[in-house]
Amino acid sequence: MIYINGSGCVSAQKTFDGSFPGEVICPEGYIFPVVAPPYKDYISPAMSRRMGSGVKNGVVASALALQEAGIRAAGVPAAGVQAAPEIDAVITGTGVGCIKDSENFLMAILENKEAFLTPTAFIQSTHNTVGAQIALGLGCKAYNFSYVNGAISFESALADARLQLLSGEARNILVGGVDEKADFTYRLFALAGLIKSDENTPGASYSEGATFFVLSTEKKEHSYAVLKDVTVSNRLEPKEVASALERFLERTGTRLADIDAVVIGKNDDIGYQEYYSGLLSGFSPETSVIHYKHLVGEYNTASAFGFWLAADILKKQQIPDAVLLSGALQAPSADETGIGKAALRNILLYNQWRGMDHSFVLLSGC
Amino acid sequence: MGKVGITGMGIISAIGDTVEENLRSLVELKPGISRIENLDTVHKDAIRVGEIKKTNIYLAKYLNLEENNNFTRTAMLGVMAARQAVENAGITDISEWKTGLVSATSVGGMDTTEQYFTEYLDNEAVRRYILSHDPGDSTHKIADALGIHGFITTISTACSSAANAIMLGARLILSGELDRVVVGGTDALAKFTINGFKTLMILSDEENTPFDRDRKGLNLGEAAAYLVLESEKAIATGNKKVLAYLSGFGNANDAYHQTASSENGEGATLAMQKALQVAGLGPGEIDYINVHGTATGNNDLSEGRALINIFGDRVPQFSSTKPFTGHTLAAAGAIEAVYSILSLQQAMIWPNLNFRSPMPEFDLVPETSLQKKEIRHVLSNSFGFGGNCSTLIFSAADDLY
Repeated sequence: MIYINGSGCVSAQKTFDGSFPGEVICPEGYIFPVVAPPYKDYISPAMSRRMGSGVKNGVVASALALQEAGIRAAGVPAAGVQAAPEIDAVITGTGVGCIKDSENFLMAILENKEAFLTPTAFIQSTHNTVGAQIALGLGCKAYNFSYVNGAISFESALADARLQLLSGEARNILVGGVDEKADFTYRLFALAGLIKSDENTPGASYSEGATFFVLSTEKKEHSYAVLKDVTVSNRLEPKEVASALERFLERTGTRLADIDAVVIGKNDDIGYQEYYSGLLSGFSPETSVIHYKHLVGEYNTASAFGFWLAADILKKQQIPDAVLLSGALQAPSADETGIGKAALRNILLYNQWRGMDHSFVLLSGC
Repeated sequence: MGKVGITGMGIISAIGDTVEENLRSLVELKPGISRIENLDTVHKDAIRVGEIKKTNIYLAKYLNLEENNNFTRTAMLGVMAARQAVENAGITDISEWKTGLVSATSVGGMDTTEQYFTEYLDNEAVRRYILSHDPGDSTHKIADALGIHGFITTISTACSSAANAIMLGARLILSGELDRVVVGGTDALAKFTINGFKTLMILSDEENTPFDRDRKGLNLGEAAAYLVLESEKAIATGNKKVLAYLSGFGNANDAYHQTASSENGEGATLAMQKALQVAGLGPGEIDYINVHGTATGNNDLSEGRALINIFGDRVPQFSSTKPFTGHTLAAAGAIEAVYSILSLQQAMIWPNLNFRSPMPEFDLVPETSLQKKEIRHVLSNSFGFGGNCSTLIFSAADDLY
């Protein structure tokens, strides 16, 4: 079994300190800013200056996850590094990577005609900078991978972690999703129709964020949930989603009726909604349908927020008002639930991006 | 542990468009390092590169792409190599088995982004390339070209990327998650990386000389290479010919510096240790090492120390093939996987060209001439920015390890 034993999240909501969902921010505009955590509590000012926002948010989110899992005290000591032998792998998903530093370095190349360049932005621009900086901060010499495949970047990391935990190769894995925004690139995204410019244009509201988890083979008192399975698919037609779900559930030995809530990656794009209606077609109208991108925006690893939300719901056995799209706040069986039997047992997560990079994840209560 | 068989391989590099052409260049000692022709950079007379002498127009035509396609050079090279690999594996029906694709790239579609970056604002005609920048874009295009549906993902861990793609592929086969997986990497030359490495002052203005006392740095290259990995079941059922086995793999992080390797080569040592352990082999059983050997001051010193950490005073025969191809970044691990498999098949050790004088720090001398030798196990190293260290071990097809 794979347990979620710690989590940390930096997003457009106040997730880093547990204020969300008690306190909900209604983001404005079409590019949501993140609620910045107190970086100085986690990163020395000298390091912080060099780091892009994705790296900083990733370092904070991973520190929160490790702290909660009791793997290692949060915060990177300014002097020297402490070994974190308990972590057997650091696996990061990041769609756009360190796009801000990439953009800066490219701009400098173009503006100065390949002259007068300094290496800092280039050094920080590689897609594995987040995972590398986490390892460097922890002095963690373990397995370290970065997945960079759009909307399934996080789920690829999750799939890798799952295989290593099931095979017994690893016992504790730090896994997460992180993406950052960059002004020029987001302007291009708007030109390409990804980001909305007004209510009636295609595209979605975008943001950025970082969400990390500690997945372990050992159950702890504070464990959130169990990761049952994860699968990805590069392309599906809307009409194929229901059968893809069926295959996924069959793999996990779960029936559709066992699913108490569905967390969908629906955003405010007027297109591609038929994927979600296709998914939900087989569920009873009472099944709780949960969404989150209206609160945290779209970005390649926004689905890691969905995972965070689902884990939190399973632990607290409560669906926050702000994320319930349809169905009941609690599973219909809640009233008859006997002691020791959770009302919300199984949560399915489904996400896609413009008809590509579909993912299914199944989480269960501990 | 089950076995991961390699049933197909494909490659395009500065020394050839096919496996056969690459083999011929290796045997005839013909390197592909030259002056840059297909890319407009102010550094063109100051650097040497491992460039594929095919224009984008030629590649697009060869692949029968439509006029208004949005293929980057990275994607085109990737499709060319991956198609060869699938053909070489004798696969006619890609959906016959549960098949996936794991591809690696460092900067994705940067080669087109840097051409149009500011032009995007005013020229609608080129905007179709905006989304080709994404590293997953080339992977999706390769999957579409091969007809692969299902598990598709992309890995980017700088210069160790393709080795890691091969490693994940092995994991997917061993766990039964997939029966068959196409794995490898693709990277095109770009001004972005040329200038990046230039600012780090690790580009040589001459031919690169790995493990040489007077090494001046690396030559960048471009390439794509893919392998087809298959499960024992798929191999037995299809009565497939196995080219070699992927017998060991290991990944570790040096956790020392964002771009530099530790002086004692700790990460590299850990990666080799893990790979030997997975393969169930002792250091004495490795017959040849295809080293990362970029010819930078830092890499070769760190890697050399790691070799000594593992093999002591019995370091197997080793060479870097980067004087042939240049350092092809995210593709390097796959290029060198192909050369490692060729080494097993041909019973040959590829020479480390351009070597003259040993390094003063240790007593390690790479092989400088083409050698005929029976080889059962080849170890291949790939290291990258961010402390990423990866080792793969390839074993002869007839070997019951």
